[in-house]
Amino acid sequence: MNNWHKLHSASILLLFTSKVKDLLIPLLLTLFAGGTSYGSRFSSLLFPVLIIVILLYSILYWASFRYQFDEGELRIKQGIFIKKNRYIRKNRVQSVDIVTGMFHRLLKVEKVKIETAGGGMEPEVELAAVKQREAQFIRAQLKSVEVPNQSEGEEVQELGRSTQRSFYYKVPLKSIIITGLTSGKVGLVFSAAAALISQIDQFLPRGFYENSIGVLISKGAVFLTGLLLVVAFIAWIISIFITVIQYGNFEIAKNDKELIISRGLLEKRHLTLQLNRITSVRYVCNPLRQWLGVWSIYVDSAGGGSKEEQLSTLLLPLGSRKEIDHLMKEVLPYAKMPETIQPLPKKAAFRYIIRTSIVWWLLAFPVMSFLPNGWVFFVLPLSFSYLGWLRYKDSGYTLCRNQCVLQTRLFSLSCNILPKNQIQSITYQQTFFQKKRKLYTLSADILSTTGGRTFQLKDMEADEDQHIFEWYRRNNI
Amino acid sequence: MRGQPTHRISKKALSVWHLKGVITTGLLLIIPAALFFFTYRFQFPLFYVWTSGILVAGYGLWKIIVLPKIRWNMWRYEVYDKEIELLRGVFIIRHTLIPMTRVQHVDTEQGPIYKKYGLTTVTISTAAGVHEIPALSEGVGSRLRDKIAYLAGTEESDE
Repeated sequence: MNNWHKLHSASILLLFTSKVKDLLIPLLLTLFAGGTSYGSRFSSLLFPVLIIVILLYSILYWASFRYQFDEGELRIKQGIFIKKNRYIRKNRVQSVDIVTGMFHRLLKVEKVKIETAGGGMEPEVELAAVKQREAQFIRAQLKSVEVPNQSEGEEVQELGRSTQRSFYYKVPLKSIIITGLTSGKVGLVFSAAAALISQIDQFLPRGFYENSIGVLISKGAVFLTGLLLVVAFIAWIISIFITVIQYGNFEIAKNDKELIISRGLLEKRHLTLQLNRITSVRYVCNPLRQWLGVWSIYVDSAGGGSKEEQLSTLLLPLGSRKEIDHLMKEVLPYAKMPETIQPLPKKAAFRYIIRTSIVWWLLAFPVMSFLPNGWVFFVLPLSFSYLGWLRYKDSGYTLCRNQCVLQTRLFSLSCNILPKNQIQSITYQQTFFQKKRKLYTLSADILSTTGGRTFQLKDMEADEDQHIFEWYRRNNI
Repeated sequence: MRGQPTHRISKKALSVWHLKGVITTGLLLIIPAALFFFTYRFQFPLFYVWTSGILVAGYGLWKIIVLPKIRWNMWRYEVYDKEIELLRGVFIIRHTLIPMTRVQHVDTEQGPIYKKYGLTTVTISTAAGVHEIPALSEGVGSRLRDKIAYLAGTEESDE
C-alpha cells in the first residue's frame, strides 16, 4: 500500500542546472555586481548566496517529493513549505511525455511530464528524473489498458515499448532534411548569420579595410552576391542540422487507443496521447512546401503541446500527400485530408485583399511623394494585395457528418479539421460592413493545451449561418 | 430552423453601465486637469488641454449615453433544453451556440455595483472558455443558473 517512491537523486543536479539556466540573466548580473571594485560586501555575497539558495531548493524539492500508484491513481506529495498533495485518476490523464535530454542520458534517467485537461502552461505533474525502467513502468501504469503485474520491471519495459503496436511509421530522413531546407528557420538563421557578419569588422585588424576594400569594390557585385550565397548556404546547412537533431528518428506508433510519437537525436521525446482526446488536426504548409506538395500535420489535445510548436503537437514534420494518406488512414481515419474545399463567395475577395494590404496602400502614397525612387515601394502593397488574394482563394470550409473543415491562410496554408464532438461552442459574428454584403465570420472553440483555441473563418455566405448551427445541433443533441 | 433568441437582460443594466461610464470618464478627466496644471505652471501650450478635454468629453458621451443603449438593445439570450444561445455586440454582432453537453459549470457573480442594483452575472464555462450573460436581476440570474446546471447535469457527456 504505502510504498511512496522518491525521485532519482540525479534530479537534484538536473533541477539545479535548469534553475540556473532560467535565472541566468539575474545570476550574471549579481556576479558582475560582485566583481566590480565598487561592490560592497553585500553585493559580492549576493552571487554565492543565490547559488546556494538554488542548490538548497533543489535538494529540498527532491527530498520532499514523493509519488505512488494506488487504486488507479497517481498520487504526488510535494512542497517544501506548503505541502501539496495531488491525486490524478489515470483515466483523466491526457498525455504522458517522457523527455531525455543530454544530461539525462548521461545519468541514465528520464523526465516524465503528465498532463490532464486542466489548463495552464505547466504540466500537472513533472517528475524531474526517474530511472528509465521506472519511467516505462509509470507510462504503462497510466495506460488505459490494465497492466496485469507491476513488479516485474523487465517485462513492463517490453510492454511499454514494443507490444500491441497496431501501426508504426518512421519518417524517412529525406523528409526531415526537406523540413530543414524549407522551414522558416532558414530565414532566422540567415539573419542571425548576417548580423554576426556585420559585427565581424570589430574584430578585424585596422588596416584590413584599406587593404581589402579596394579589392572588394573591384570585384564588385559578383563578389557580394557570392558572399551572400555562401551565407545562405551555411544558413541552410545549419537549419538542416538543427532540424535533424530536433526531429531525427521521428516515429509514430499507434496502440489501440493511444498515439505514441517519439523523436529527437540529442534530446529524446516520447509522447503518448489519447487518440479520442484529440481536439483538432491541422495540415499546414508554407508556400514553398505547397509548391513541393508536402505538408506537416499538427494535432491539438488538452495536454502535450510544446511552446516551440505554438502549444500543439507535431504529428508529422513533413510528408507528401501519399504518405499522409497512408498515415492518417491508420491513425486518425476521420481526419484524412479533404479532397476539395467549398470556396468563399466572390464578393469576399475584395474584403480579403483590402484587409491584408490596406496599411501598405495607405503608407505607399506619402512614401512615394517624399522619397526619391519612392515608386519602388509599390512592390509592397502589390505583393500584400496578392497575399490577400491568395488568402481569399485558399479559404473555405466543408461540413462532413462528424467534423468540420476550416481552411485558412495567414502566410502558411492551414487546413483545420475539427471533430464535431470536440467543438465547445460555435459563434458567428457580423460587422456592419459584412452585413451590407451579407457575409459573416464563423468561429469555433476547442480545447487545447493551455485552454481554449479559436478557429475563425472570415466572410462566409450569410445564408449558411443557420446551416452550420443546424449541423452543430444534430447528433450533439 | 428556429428564430433568434428572445430574452433580454435587465433594464437596470443601463443604470450600471451609466455609472461605470461616469466613473471611468471621471478618472480620465485627471489627464486634462493635469495638463491644465502644467499649462499654468510651465507654460505648456493651451492646445493640449483643449484636445484632451474634447477627447475625454467625447469618450464620456459615447460611454455614458450612447453605448449602454445600443448594448442593452442588442443583448438577447435563450436557454433551450439542449443548448444555450447568446446574441450580442455593438459593432460586431455575435451569435453563439453552446450545447448543454459542453457546459462544465455555471456561476453567478456580483460585484459591489451589481449588488447595489440587485443584479448578477451568469457565467457559463465550457472546456474551452467562459461565456457570460451580464446584468440579470438576482432572481432571474439564480433561477437561470440552477436551470442550466440541471439541464447540463441531465445530458450525458460523450467525451
